[in-house]
Amino acid sequence: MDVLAPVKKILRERIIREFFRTVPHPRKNLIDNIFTGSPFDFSHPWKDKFLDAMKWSFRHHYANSGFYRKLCIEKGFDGSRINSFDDIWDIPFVLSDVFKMYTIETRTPGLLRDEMSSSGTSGRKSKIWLDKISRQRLMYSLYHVNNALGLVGQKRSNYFLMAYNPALDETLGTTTSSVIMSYLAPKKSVFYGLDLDKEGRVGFLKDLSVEKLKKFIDEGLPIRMLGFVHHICEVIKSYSERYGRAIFPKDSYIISGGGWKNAVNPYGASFDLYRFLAERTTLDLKNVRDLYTLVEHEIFYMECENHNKHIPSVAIACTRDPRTMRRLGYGERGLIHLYSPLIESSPALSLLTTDYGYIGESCNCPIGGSYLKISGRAGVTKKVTCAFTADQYVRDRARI
Amino acid sequence: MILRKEPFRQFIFGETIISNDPLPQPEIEKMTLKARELTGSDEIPSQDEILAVFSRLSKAWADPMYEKRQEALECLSRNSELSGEFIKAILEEFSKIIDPGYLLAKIEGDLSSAAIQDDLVTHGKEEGIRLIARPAGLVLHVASGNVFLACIESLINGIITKNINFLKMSTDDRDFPVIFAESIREFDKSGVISRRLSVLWWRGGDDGTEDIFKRHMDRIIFWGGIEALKSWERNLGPSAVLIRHGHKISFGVISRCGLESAELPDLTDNIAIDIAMWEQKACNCPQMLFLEDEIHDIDVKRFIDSLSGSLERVNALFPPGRRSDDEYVEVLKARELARASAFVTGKPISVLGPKTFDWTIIFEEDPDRQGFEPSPLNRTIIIRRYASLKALAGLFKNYSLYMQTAGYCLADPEVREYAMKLSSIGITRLCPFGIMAIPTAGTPHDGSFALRDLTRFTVIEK
Repeated sequence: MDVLAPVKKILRERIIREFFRTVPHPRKNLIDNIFTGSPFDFSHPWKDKFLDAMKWSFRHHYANSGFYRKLCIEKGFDGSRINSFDDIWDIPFVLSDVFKMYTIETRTPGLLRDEMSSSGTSGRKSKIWLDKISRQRLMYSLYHVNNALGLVGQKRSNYFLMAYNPALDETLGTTTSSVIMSYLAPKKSVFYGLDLDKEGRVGFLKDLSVEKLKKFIDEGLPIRMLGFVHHICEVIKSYSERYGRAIFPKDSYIISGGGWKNAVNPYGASFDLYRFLAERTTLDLKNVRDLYTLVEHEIFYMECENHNKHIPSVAIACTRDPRTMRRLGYGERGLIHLYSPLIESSPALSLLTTDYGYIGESCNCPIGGSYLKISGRAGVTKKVTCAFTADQYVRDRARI
Repeated sequence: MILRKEPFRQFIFGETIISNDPLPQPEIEKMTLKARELTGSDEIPSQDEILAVFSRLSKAWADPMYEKRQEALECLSRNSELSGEFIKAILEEFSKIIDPGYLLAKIEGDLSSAAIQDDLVTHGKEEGIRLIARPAGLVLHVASGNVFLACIESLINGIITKNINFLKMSTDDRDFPVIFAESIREFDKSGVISRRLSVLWWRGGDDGTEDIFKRHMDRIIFWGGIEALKSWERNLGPSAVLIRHGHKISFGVISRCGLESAELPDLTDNIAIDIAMWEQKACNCPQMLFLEDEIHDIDVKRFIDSLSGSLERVNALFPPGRRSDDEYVEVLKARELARASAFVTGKPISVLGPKTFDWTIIFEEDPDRQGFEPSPLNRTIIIRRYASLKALAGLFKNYSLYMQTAGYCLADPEVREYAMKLSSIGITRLCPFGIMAIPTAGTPHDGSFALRDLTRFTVIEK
């Protein structure tokens, strides 16, 4: 047992609070020039700055990550071809699944060895190491993205986190994201729905969650419900069955993310989250936001009031045809490919995800600009075949 | 899968019906009761009568211009994910598997005697003991979508063993089985087969309909994946015997002596055909190849180069079928994870294949890279080394339930040794490369004789 764990926890919370109080502008190298006044400012000379940052990032990972250098050599790419903004799209990708299999780092001074893990909803967890500057950039970006989208509040709120209690494992990315998100408004109290049960097993404490929600609703302070959509829906469903429609206090939010793709299946393919919530709660649906982020690329693609996941100026994104890897245009469904120079300690500057979606060209919300629409995880529709398949193997290996 | 609601054909005891929906459950109940009555009648056709129908049928299907063959080609090209070239090649061969000579060989091989279904036949060396094989009764064949011929062959097995047959079509192919049934009717004027045959469709997992079959059938021949199998295993009636042809895995093995004695281009052409057949989705297609450690690195390289060329040649003859985005992503993942493994561990792994993902070779040279790993299919072959036959057999010890065919390139004296060892860990068939997905008539499938599963023997003792 780590006797210093409570102290570390307090320190961590203080660090995060400090971050949000001072919101320091990271200033280390060309990467930091992409932080402009607004996280959604794409005006000139953003393209030039982003290009410079990606060039710097590429050179850094090429020089300091043996893994990435070998990958680039095999793909015949040495960075000399990154001369214009459009050349960024050619930077060799690392498939997100690779981070689920291997912990890959780029040698970086001041590596904090701050390990981050994903929730492992697809069966395997991603794991990356973060250095100090990368973490600072992610925090900075996160705060400003949320601020621009109106999610930073001043009213004291009760936090209802459908996420693992960080005391169980602080490396879980969703937990960490949720914990960070719980600093976006002053805190009255925090409840974790995924925690130890009476028998000491980690699990979803559904009944306790329903009762806690009732208590929070009765208390009348804004509620910020964060975490796994599936669990949020389960709590809302049980609450409404037990107590009727959930009358959320004014300025309450639901901010979901992680663990969505597979777990939501019990509700059926045509499940509509917004209709579900409208029928069971009084929440203003503008205050229901889904977040897309990956532990290996912890940029926040947060929804605006129109439920579009905006691409901040620290990243660019496209979709790719899974058959040819050709870059697709706006509105064309393919694999989501994300590019960002922010992380120095892990070669995730060009990350091909296994999520399907498309890029919307222009949202008509006040922020405007392009956005992501995620439509599901690739490779989940298994063909009926009498050949023994990999997913069966994984299940069996777990059994044996 | 979202199914468009459009009219489809079903075949019920010699009649084609067209509807938008599956038959209502009371109709199915009635149909199974009618079928049960038929088993009690004296109308069991003779083997000659059945084979005479197949003789006419086989001649018709040998003609590329035969109307039903053309209709099958059109429907399969539309519905199946396989390439038109591959479907054409399969239909070209189809007349051979319904040829009476082939079917007789199957009966003889499976039941030990060509006459045993029509008369008493002396059993073994005991003159006083005679046997007769009788149909099991009512048989349901549950089709899978990956190999359109598997359910037809299963149905033919049911027919030549004189059973009353029902075939549940796969959602992926609701045409070919009906076309085949209609073709039987065309050459079966007296109805010896077609009046004892129904081809139906309902959505898999419809418990109400499936429970009727579970209650009334004597045999249920299941082809497909594990989820559907689990559903068929539940609540079986007292008479129903479930014959499982579920998810299986096959692989290839090449020894040093075998490779030395083989003609390399022929060998790799044969392996490439095995890999390309049915886009690897049949249980008897190889997903991995194991090369003996003793094979010199230069010979391994020659082998890999030759296999690449063969896959490319097969690709030109039989282009890959239609694949879903998910299938492409599975191959992409396999390639990228293999590359990543090489970069992280520093151990050599070669990933070969065109950018179009038409075929993929993942060669893991690292001798520490043990174990078996299913491929993402779609012409993806994973190649590893093995230190000894004992070590090779050890890889599969926990998976005997799933083992099926081992294709081989071995020196003649090695075949027995490999057969003894691999059969003991669950392999049910060893064959040379090139025929992995084309089993010989009259040989067992998944460890048992198909026709024996569809018959019951009566023993007559003196």
